[in-house]
Parts: sequence; C-alpha cells; structure tokens
Amino acid sequence: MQTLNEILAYDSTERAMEIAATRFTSVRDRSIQKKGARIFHEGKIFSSSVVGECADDELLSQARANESGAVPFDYELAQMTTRSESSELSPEVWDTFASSVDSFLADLRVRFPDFIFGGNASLWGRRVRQEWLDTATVNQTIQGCTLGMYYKHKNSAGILDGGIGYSSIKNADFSKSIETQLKFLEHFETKASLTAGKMPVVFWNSSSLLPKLLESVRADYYCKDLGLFKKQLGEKLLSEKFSLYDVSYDLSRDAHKLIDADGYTRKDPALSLFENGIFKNIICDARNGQKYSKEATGNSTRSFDSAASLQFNHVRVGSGSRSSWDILNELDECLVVDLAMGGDFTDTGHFSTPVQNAYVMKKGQITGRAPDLTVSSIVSEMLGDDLIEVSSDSLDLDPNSPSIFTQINVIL
Amino acid sequence: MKQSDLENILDSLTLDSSACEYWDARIEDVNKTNITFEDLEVTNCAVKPSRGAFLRVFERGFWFYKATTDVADLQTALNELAAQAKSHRFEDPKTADTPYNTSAEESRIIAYEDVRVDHVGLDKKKSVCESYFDIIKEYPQIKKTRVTYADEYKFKTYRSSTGVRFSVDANHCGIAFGYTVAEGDGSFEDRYLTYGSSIEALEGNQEALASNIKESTRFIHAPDIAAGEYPVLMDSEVVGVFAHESFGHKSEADFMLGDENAKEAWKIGSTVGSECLSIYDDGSEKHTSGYCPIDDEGFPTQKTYLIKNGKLTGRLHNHTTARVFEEAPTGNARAMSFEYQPIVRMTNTCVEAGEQSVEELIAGVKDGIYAENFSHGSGLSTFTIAPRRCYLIKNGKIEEPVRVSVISGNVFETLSKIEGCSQNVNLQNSIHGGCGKGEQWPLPVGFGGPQVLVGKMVVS
Repeated sequence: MQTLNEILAYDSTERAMEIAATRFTSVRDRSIQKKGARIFHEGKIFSSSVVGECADDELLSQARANESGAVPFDYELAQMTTRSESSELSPEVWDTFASSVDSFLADLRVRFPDFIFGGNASLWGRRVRQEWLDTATVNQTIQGCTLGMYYKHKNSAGILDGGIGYSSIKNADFSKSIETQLKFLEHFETKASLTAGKMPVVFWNSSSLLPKLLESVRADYYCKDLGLFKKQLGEKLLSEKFSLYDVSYDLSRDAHKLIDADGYTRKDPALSLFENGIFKNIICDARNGQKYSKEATGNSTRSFDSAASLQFNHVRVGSGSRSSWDILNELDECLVVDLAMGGDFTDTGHFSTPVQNAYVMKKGQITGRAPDLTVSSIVSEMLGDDLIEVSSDSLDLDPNSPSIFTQINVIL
Repeated sequence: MKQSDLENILDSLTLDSSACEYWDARIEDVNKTNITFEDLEVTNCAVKPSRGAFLRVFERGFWFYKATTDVADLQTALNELAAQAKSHRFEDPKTADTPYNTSAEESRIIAYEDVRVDHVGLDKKKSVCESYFDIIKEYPQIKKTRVTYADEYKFKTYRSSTGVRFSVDANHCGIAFGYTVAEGDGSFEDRYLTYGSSIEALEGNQEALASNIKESTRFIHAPDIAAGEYPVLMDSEVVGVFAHESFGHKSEADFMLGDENAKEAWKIGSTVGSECLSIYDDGSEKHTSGYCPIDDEGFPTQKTYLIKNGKLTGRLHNHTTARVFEEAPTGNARAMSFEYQPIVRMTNTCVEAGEQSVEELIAGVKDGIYAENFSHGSGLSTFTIAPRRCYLIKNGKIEEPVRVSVISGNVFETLSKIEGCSQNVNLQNSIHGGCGKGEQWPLPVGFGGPQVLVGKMVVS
C-alpha cells in the first residue's frame, strides 16, 4: 500500500450580527484557523490536529510521533487530482447585507409589533485546502450568507413559537423567500379548527421525515441486516412518486464536496438512493467497502480533527412536476407544519412528533393556526401508499428543496 | 504555552479609557481526546488541542466581539475591535446600562491539576475501553457497536477593564457504549454511559454494562405503544431532561428580553406546579458535567431555585439580563468555547427529592408507562422527550417492555399534574452530547432528580 501525507486546513471568517428583541445587539467577527494532518503508512493512519496556527511540517511531525493514536487501515485510497473552485459573494454584499437586515428588522417592528424576533444574521467564508503532498491539492473557497431567526408572540407561554430563515452561497437577497414565510405569520393569531385523524400534511422542512430511512441505506446498517430494508436492495418499497438522492457536488444546491475524505470523486455527483420508490443504492466509504465487499460511493467525510467516517453528503428529494403552492391550491385541506421539535422514530419505523406550530390551509388559503397536536405515522406508509405528491420546490419557493405532501395521522 | 503565559498575555493588554466604555478578554486552552471503536475495531484516535481568545467591547449600548486563534497578538485585535466599536452606526438597542461586571474580584480555582486527563496516555485510555469488550462479545444478539471515549481538560483565564480576573479549569471523561441488539425481524438500539473526572472513575463498570445489555435484549420484540394519554413514572434521567427542557430554558432570562408579557407571566411568587415540586440550578458541585465555579463574565455560580414548593422563585441571568430585570446576577453566563460569546445557560439542573418510595408512587396506577431513560428532549410551550426504554405499569407494578416514540405535554399543565416525587435523587452527567441553544451546542450540563409520577401525559 502507498504512503501518503495529507493536510486538511480550514481558514474560516465570519461576521455575525446577533438579534434580540427585534434589534441588532452585537456584532461578532471570527477568524479561526484549523488544521489536521494524516499520514498513511504501512497499514496505519497517523494523525494530529490543531486549532490555531501551525506549519504543515510541524503538524506532520506530530502525526508521525503519535504512535499510540495510529489507526489501522486496509483499503485502497483513490487517486486524487488537483482541483480548485471558488464561489464567492460579490464584495458589495459584505457592505450591504447588514443594512438590508437592519431595514428588515425595522420593518418587522412595524409590521409585527406583537412578535419578538431573535437570532442571527451572518456572512461567512471558508477556505479549505486538502493537500496530498507531492500528489494533488484541492482548494475550495466558499462564501455565503445566513439569516436564522426565531419568533415569539408576546402572549405566548413558550420561549419561541416558530422560525424564519434564509441561507445561500449565491446571493444575499432574502426578501422573496422570507416574505413567503411571513405570509403564515400574519395568520398566527387566528385559530383554525381541526379534526383528528389522517389528513394531508406537509412539513416546512421535509427532511424531518427521513432520518430512519437514511439510517437504513447506510452500508454499516444494511450489510448487518439492520434498519428498515433488510436484504431489499432493488425492490420497490415506497411510492413511485418518491425519489431520493445523495448529492456530493452541485453548487446550485449548496452541495460542495469536490472530493471525499478517502480521495474519491464521483463520476455522477448524484447517487440515486431511491428511484420511483425502488431501493437503488446504499452509501459506503472505503473502510466499509473493504469490510463488506462493496464499492465506495464517495461518502467518506472527516473534520480536520477526526478520522474519516461514513456520512451522507447533501440529501435531496427528487423533484415533482408541480409547485408546492399549485398542490396546496388543489387540496381541500392541508396542515402546513412550521415547527415540530422533539419527535423520533422507533426501530420499527414508527414516527411521532409533537407539532408546536402549524397552519391549516384550505384550497391554498391560510385559514389559521392549528392547535397543539401530535402527528404519527410509519415510514413505509407515509412515503408509500399515503404519499400524495412531491412538489418541484419548497414552500418558500426554493427549487432545490422539494416538499413531501403525505397523509399523516393527526392526534389532538 | 503554560497557564501562566496565557495569564500574562491578558495582563499585558491595555486600552485607553477613552477607546471604549468596557472591554474584557477570555483565553481558553483545551485538550480533548476522542477514541472511537466501531464493532470493536478502533477507527478514530484523535488528540485535539485548541487555543483561542474571545474579546468583548461594549460601547454606546452595543456589544462587539472578536474570536481569534491568534492568541499571541491580542493587543492588535483589541485595538481594532475598539476602533470598530467607535465607528458603529446602529441604533442603540437600549437593553441596559453597564451590562458588565464591575466587581473587580480576582479568583484562581485550579482544581484538577493532579488528575488532568490530557496527562494520561492514549494507550491507557484505549485499554480502559477494551477492558469492556469481553462483556460485549458474550451477547450474540449485539449486531453493531460504537464505543466512544471522550475527555477534555480546559483551562480558562479572563480579565476585564473593570479589574475582574479569574482562572479556572475543568476536567472530565466518559465512555459511551452504543449498540444494536437484534434477533429475527426485531431490533433495538440502546446505550450505556460512564462518566468521571478521572480515568480511574471509568474502570470497573463491567457488571453494570452487562446488566444494561441484558435488559436491552428484552426490547428486541417489544410492541409499539397504543398512542394516548397515560400516567407516566419518569426515572431520574428522564426527570432531569424534563426539568432542563421544559422549565430550565424558560427560566433563562434572555428569552424574556423585550417581552413585558413574559416578565409578567413569570412573576416571582406565582404558583406554577404542584406543592411537592422544587427545581434548582447549581454549578458549584465538582465532578459534575455542569460544574462551573465562575461564569464567563466573572460571577461565581450559586444554587438558584427556579421553583420552590410549586412557586416561581428565580430566573437564570447573565449580567445584561440581571440589569434589565433589576435582579442579582446568578453566575449563568457561559460560552461553549472561545469562538462564542457568553449567553445565559444552565449548569446542573435538578428536581429536589420528595417523600415517597417508587412503590408508593405507582401503587394507584392501573394502566401507565414507566420511562427509564431517554434519547433526546426539547422544550417549548410543549415539551417532548424521546425515551429509550419504557415499560408498561399495570395495577401498581412495572411490567413488560414497550416501544414509545415520544412523550409530550404542555409544560405548565404537566407541572400541575405531578402527583409525587420519590426520595432518591440521581444527577446524570455526561461528556457526550450536551445542551444546545442557538448556535452553541453542545455545552456540558448535568440534570437529574428523583422518580416523578405525572398523572397524565401524551404518549405515542
């Protein structure tokens, strides 16, 4: 097996503005260097890491000296190739983002005087250098902006009632997305009536429905006959309307892993996990691939200070043909779940979660806020026979995040 | 760098009094170790040193922060931060006057120098984990394991322009045994945690691990609960997370900033729960995961009652919220690491003991649930707990295992439905996971209490 020296270095900068009581209260600048080294030599990985400045040579020396921390490896590493990529926001954004958010907060204070907003607006940048010494280097520069806010009604007993947010590496114009989210807030104080039982439901964040399914398509679960889909690769298990992908690299979808921690680059960045309900692939890294005689799928991930492990990249639901709002306009009644915290799955795939904030919609019209409730279903049903449709976009118009409309049991 | 070198860096910082109204600086020097065994093979063995500083400047009602790994040149960072503060143009948020510590006190609490976990070799740490593997191998039902060792030694030093100086350390370690047991079509994921403030505390728990695994196998074919409302007996671990999630976060005063209704609803002296219920927060106890003798604004920790005998008694504060509420600081300003500013956080949050035995508590329960431990929890107006092991209670007896996804309830309704608390309190500590608030996760905290019976909760 070959000997390789690797350096993984992050240089992160961030300007974050804290929001409390619907006003900026602080500004925080961060400038953080983090670096890790790995040496692959004679079947062992020697490693070291540091937060702060440290020369590459010194870090590699520390790795070499770390005999006790060496971890065995028995798999082939991929051939890395030098690549470079940059996705930066325009310089004007750094000047204008803060004032845009400040104006937005002033507007919120007038438009929603009975709500208190808190959270964070930030501009961030990350330079990543993954260098396999004397072989190849991958350089990546990414910048983005994030606006993450929670809100609370002044008469509410809770510490927060919901959230609004925006995140992009392309542009800092959050107005359209946020406006769609604020449409629901206008109906917060109107109580909608609801009957318990199975009904169409859409989660603002559809990924809430996926954790147990995702666990089941990992090699370290599937190859041990664990998870929901034992020995069922290749079978049709879910609705033909449901497709699911693991995307390693697609900047339009905020997926930016050029190369995985074992050096693999996929030929096709999108790995099909489910295609029209058929279970197509499991994810696998080099270690599990060697263990279970499976091909690696470019799903090895590591942080600068940890070993590589099997992880998903960016999980994306396959787009449907109609927009979320076209679907909502057609449904007689639909529960739109904004905030559902604390739920979980059992090992048999039963899912249940309390819903702290949801709205009832009838034929595309928001009729009011639902009472406190719990929703409950089973993975094979809510992504199977109970699946109504998958939209082409999210509720706040993001074409990269389709929404899953499905029948779920509502318990009042 | 030695601890004294870091203290000297802070002592050398200067800023003209005209440069800004107030400044402070905190340096954190941390050594962590993480060792992971997957299916009993080591896959990760990492020592993680980290050193950085967090600077704060307060000027005209606004805070300015800088987090940096360039500890050697903090003076330049402080000068630049003060200049930035002078030129800012945002509207004064009008939260409080002088929201900073002016006590000019000095403390040095170095409690763990002799048992520092970062002075123990990796071979020793690995061998402690491996000493449990024979137990795991005895159970053919175990199909998948993930054993994770973690430790941390943290040295923190701080100085402010008002003369506050402190240095403090923290030291803890733990092993998490995660495993999946399976037989035929059934499977169950469970875990066993150990914790201590020295390596020696993690040794010798083989019997307890074996007992835990054996009990987990009873859940492989456990049926799902029929969703509905049930009386629930919560064990210490579950009571702790309930107190932390449902009530502890509500007591954090920064959530009430700008909200006059919330302050009124949280009037000290209001009755919010059963008379048998008392909940406190206290970071003074050493060898606990919420140990925090001095907070990150230089205030000493204290035992703060949040509820006493069913009545609201106190809130948790940092200095800003204490000024706004015109109450005393409580020593609860904590930052997760040098990358973040201190915000109001809990330390060790605990329900006080009651007077009954467990048998007395459940004697009258015909059809209920016993929740022994949990996977995760959260708290808003409705709190939720995702339990791990649950059992049916039938006619006053704990009986067979049952699977439950989530237990939930309205916070204040549940507090008023507490029917009794047992006599024995356990505080749960862990170095794995922790409390999340905003972007700051995971912060080490402790939580616990006695066994508590709630008359009615939603179970699904």
